[in-house]
Amino acid sequence: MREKINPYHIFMLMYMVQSGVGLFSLPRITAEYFGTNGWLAVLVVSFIVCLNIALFYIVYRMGKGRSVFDIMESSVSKFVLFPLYAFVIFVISLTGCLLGKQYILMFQMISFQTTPPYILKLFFEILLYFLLIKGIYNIVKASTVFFYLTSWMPFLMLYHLGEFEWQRLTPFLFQGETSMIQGIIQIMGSLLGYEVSLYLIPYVERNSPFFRAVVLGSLYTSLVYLVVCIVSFGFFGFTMLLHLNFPLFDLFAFIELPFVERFENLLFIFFIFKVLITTIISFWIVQLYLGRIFTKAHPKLLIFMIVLATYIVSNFADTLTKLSRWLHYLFAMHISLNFLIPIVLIILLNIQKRQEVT
Amino acid sequence: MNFFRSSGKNRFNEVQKAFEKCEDIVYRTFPQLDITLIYFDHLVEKLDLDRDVIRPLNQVTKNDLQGLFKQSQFERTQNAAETIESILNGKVAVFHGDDTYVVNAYGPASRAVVESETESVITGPHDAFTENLNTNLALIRRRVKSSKLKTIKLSVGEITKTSVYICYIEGIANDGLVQELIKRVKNIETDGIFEGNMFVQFIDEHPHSVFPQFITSERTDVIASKLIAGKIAGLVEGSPSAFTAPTNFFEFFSSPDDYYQRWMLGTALRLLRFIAFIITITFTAFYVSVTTFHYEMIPQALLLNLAESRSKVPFPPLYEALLMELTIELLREAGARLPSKIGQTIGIVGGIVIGQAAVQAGLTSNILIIAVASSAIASFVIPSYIMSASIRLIRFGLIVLAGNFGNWGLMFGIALIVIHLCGLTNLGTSYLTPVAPMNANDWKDTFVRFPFSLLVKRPSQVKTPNKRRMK
Repeated sequence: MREKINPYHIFMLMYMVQSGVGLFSLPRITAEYFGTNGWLAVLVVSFIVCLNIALFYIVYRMGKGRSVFDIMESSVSKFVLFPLYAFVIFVISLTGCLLGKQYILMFQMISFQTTPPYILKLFFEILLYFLLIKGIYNIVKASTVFFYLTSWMPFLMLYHLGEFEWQRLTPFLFQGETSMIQGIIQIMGSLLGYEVSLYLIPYVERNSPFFRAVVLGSLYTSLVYLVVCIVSFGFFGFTMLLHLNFPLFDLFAFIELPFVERFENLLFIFFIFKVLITTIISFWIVQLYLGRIFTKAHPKLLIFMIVLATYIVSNFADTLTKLSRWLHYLFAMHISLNFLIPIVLIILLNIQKRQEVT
Repeated sequence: MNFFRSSGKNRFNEVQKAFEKCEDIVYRTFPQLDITLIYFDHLVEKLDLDRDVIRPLNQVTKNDLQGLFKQSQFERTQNAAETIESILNGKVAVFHGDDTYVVNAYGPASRAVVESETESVITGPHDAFTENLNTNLALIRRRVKSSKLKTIKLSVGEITKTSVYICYIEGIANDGLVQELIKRVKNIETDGIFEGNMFVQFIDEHPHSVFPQFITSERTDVIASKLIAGKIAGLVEGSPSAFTAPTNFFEFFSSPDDYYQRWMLGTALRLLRFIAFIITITFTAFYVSVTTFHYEMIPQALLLNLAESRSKVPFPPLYEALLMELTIELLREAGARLPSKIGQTIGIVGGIVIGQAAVQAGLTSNILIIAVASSAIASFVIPSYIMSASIRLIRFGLIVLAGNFGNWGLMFGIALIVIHLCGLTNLGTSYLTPVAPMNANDWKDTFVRFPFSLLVKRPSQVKTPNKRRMK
């Protein structure tokens, strides 16, 4: 039997899956949707994410380590489940691939204005394919290495402490034009990925502090997000934040080193590791669902089809504005699924428990 | 040919036939005793032959022969095949009537124990393995005086019949890993094996990977230290390179010097090697990427010098870098093949004449020379020559990617390397241990070298039943 995934790695995986390119626009989003001191919204959303993880934990406890699919398929007919599976595949695969595309469009905007994004995306797809065929254990190993390669980045915020001023935060709370529900969807969208914990249940050792690692990983991501938002509010001020498309990018641009200019270009490229893990985990979940539908298909063929299909679809999202709009709807659907699936599972587990008793 | 249970006369004929046209074989007869000896003169030690065989046979009478053959040096063989194999292994075959005996007098000429040229250290022992298996075993036993040091002899190669010894310390090495290694050695199908580094390629799990998956060393102290850490060592006949398993990627960056110097120095040196690894793999590629696609990243103070230097070069940075990298590799290969004194001359010619002339002729910019030279020097900081060579090869791929796709290509290459490394295993254990899977305790002797008082546990990768050292 394969080695089980250690909680240390789960912690790092959670951070790598959750954090991504959404962080670049997050301070503006908090300001735009929540108004003054919008950074506090990160705490609220982080709490909602923890509640969602708590639902996963209930499934874990009640299901005694059984996989999501085993629980569902032992009570519900496949004819009912397959349309649901198809919908989940649609939402998760599109979210994953569009997050990848968003990163590539941003990269193209910064460094390769004349190169067609589909060429850059092709490289990304190659990485996805080669990592995905190696299986979840190796994906987790890769995420650990990528975590170390990027773990130093949050400390760059220390560089801005000299220019940080508390008065820029203002004493007002959530004032200005606000749209909190939309804002919560946006912020939760940038924290998505934690649902992987639900699918990792069969791959972790029973009675290990697995969910503690999931929560800690998620909290660590929230902490990094919070720090970036506070620094952005204290550095730029609320009014200026509203006019910056990618405030984190401007924060990075402020860093100057004697031997290299435009340091932000270099920093931005390190985000490829985070985006890669975010997308790959989405595709891995999709692979699990597809494996349930096409039971006899070769895994490598399935992976190839996922990568190819999402590559083709992602080419239709050719501007960042269009992509953001698509992502907004997908985030809403994804978040709904994240709550709906564990609730359905808990109901099914209760029914199964009663049936066992009778 | 039926080699099983043949009569004495037939057996002699079979052996004689097997060694037909082998003019280096020696037949020596003792007609008064009805005895014939067959052996290879150059495989036996003259003194042993004289003491154990010739002198006793000269002194004995025909009636006392059976008593002589009862002495322990005479081993009876059962068939012609066994006799032939014994002769090939440096034993003397003694034919008498229906009986055949062999006497071990193996002692071919071999070089003395000298310092390893590829793994020299500043402080520490200088003895290294030789091509003689017995000498190598003796060098290990001299360092590990324990009856728990077990050795298993195996034979590899259909034609060469190369002896391979698997060594491990009972109670410390993992039995499952020992059995797995033995199984792999037994499954090797080849005509012949001549070197330890060649041998390990037959037991690799990923033969198509550019990375070496078993660490090999000519140093006896290295192998002894790995044995007591719970690893399994292998010695190959005719090779001064021993190998150990299980191996991880980071092990290739440690050197015995780290342990023979103060721990702070050891730590600094080890960190330096990892920095050297990053420089080797990325420096030239980064130069190519920046000068091709990301000029905006160059500081203004440097930009003018670089632009001036680059303005004389008629090629794109990619060709310029590949040309210089290729020149460096040519110089290295030429230096490796030539005697050390001429090799130094090549170094001077290459380093000064070609470098200087290339800049003056406008073939390359002087900043590129610095980048290429720095990454070449950094590659030699890596203690394992095999790993260093692999890394240099990968560098070419990264340069090409950086030359075509800038920083994007460079990061793509690095991600691909990480993904590839994640998939590698050695004897079923992860090649990236102790980073992934992570073991914080092992980090004390991976990227840094903690004081010995804190290195109390054996590495997790060896899966030892005896986790604490000194037990």
